[in-house]
Amino acid sequence: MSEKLLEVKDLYINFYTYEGVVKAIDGVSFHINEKETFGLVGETGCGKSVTVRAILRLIPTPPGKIERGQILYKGVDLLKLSDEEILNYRGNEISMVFQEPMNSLNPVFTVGDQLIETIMVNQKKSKDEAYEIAIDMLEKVKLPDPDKIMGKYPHELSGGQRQRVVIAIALSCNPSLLIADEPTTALDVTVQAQILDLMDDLKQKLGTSILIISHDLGVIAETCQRVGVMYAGTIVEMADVENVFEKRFHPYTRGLLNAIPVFGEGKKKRLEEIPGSVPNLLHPPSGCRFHPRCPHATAVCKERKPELVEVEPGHYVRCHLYG
Amino acid sequence: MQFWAKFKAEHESKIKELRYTLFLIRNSPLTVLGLMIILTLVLVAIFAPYIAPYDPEKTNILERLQPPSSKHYFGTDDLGRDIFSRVVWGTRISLEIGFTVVLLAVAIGSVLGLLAGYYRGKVDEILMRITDMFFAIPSLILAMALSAALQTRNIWTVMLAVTFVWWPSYVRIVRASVLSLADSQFVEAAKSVGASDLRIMFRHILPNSLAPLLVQMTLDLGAVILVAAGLSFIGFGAGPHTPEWGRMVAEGRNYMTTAWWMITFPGLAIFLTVLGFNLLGDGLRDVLDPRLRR
Repeated sequence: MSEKLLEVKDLYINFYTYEGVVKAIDGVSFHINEKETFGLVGETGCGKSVTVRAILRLIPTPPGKIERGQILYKGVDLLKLSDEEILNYRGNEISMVFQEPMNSLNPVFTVGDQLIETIMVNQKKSKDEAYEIAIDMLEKVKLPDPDKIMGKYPHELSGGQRQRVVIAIALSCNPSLLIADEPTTALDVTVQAQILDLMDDLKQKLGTSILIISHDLGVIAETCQRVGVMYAGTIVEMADVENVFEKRFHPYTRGLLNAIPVFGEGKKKRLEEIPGSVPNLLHPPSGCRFHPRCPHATAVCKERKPELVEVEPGHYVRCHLYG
Repeated sequence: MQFWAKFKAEHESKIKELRYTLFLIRNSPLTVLGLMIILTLVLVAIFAPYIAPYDPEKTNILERLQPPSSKHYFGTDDLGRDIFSRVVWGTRISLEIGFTVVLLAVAIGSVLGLLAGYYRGKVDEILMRITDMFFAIPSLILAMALSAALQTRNIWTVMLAVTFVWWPSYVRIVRASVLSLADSQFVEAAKSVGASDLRIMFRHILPNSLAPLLVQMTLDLGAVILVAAGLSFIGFGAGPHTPEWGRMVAEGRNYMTTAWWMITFPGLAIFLTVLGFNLLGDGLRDVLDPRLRR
């Protein structure tokens, strides 16, 4: 077993809104090993993005508040750092790629200006040195003619090119961890595959760990070693990708995977769906948050929140069926 | 030559943008007219000592109240001063007042607007209520009061007084655009790679609000010159001999029926300047509008 690079322990985050307290993150724990790709998968609104933003302390406070928990990065609790100290971690240690490559770049500056600025600020390099590193980064993300790309404005590039630039900026200061929040959702399928390949390639070359968020199980299966399935603010199942896909211990995981259409077999079979809809986190269900939609729900599910238990080595499930 | 070729290759897109902007300006005759008026005025202001045939402050009682002629293009006033020379020197003073006031107001307004829009909450509340207070007082009266309180009468008090009442509108403009930009993803992306609050405000958000600012600044240059002339007209501005347009109109008022040239030429100068800035400002609004650009 390799070293733990990042460990999120028992994280609770609430949002204090006009309508009441939204309990967005309810006891999330997971860890990422060095040189590993870890995936977080779940429906829209289950708290994936909030969780990863908490790692970089990008949650707007107010209304958001991290109630308790620890986020240990190389042994340092990121939640205890001052606002100035966290700046040294952003970019240099942990970096992030966002969903919309269209909006992740500043429209009034050229690609080169933005790359060079990031490198100069974080690594305290001179402009000429930063220029060299920037060109090198653009080559690493396989953009042709880096010299020309440097002088272009974001609106002159395609979606895939922009996402490559964003990745180049994110990796320009050699972070140990790259967080990718649905990095391919806004892209064409063919470009999606290219970007995923690129990220995997860079991970091998630079030794970066990747935390990837997606609602697309295909993306997760393709890129990750381990995966956490999130539902309504908690991780319900976490294990190696193959194990999660094969064993599907948690009823929610089963539901998710059954809802994927399979080509070629049983054409007349209706797709299975998970009954009901995602709960409103203003008033989350008691006990296990999945119990209103769960086919195996019993009385205990309503009363008590199940613990995350290790049912097999390295395979964790949060469900009373396995308690 | 080689250097130029390299520069051209590296900044291809920037040059393209600039060319396109110039193309848009060329295609709008009124903007070009405005730009030409302003450029002429700026040149006149810079080369005033060479253009003006006489000392603008030198009196010559023997040649008082002369009508326009080849000797005195715009005639002379009640003290025999050459009005053409005074109008030429007045250009320098008016533009000085305009640019100083607008630049100061933008500097103050941008900083406060950025702070209010970026930090929101209490900071926003306090800064905006102070701004509102300034909006509640008629600006010309406030400027008059301030310039009266300052005792001394020169163009610096005019600048100070007008700046004092001019910054609040910039707070509004900057804050409005900061509010919409602060939540944009590129700001979050900049944060995620370690940009500090100050860097985000000044390097990432402010340049994005430059277009509306530039338009407002151009329009305001005309308005400031008008207000400054108004203050001078009612006696709160420049000292007795200063060739200030508003003051010249005020002095010519008594001779309106006998010496029309005394108020006509400085009045025309004011009119032309304000018109020029307004045409340019309106044109820039269209040229810089991102929705019309592509």
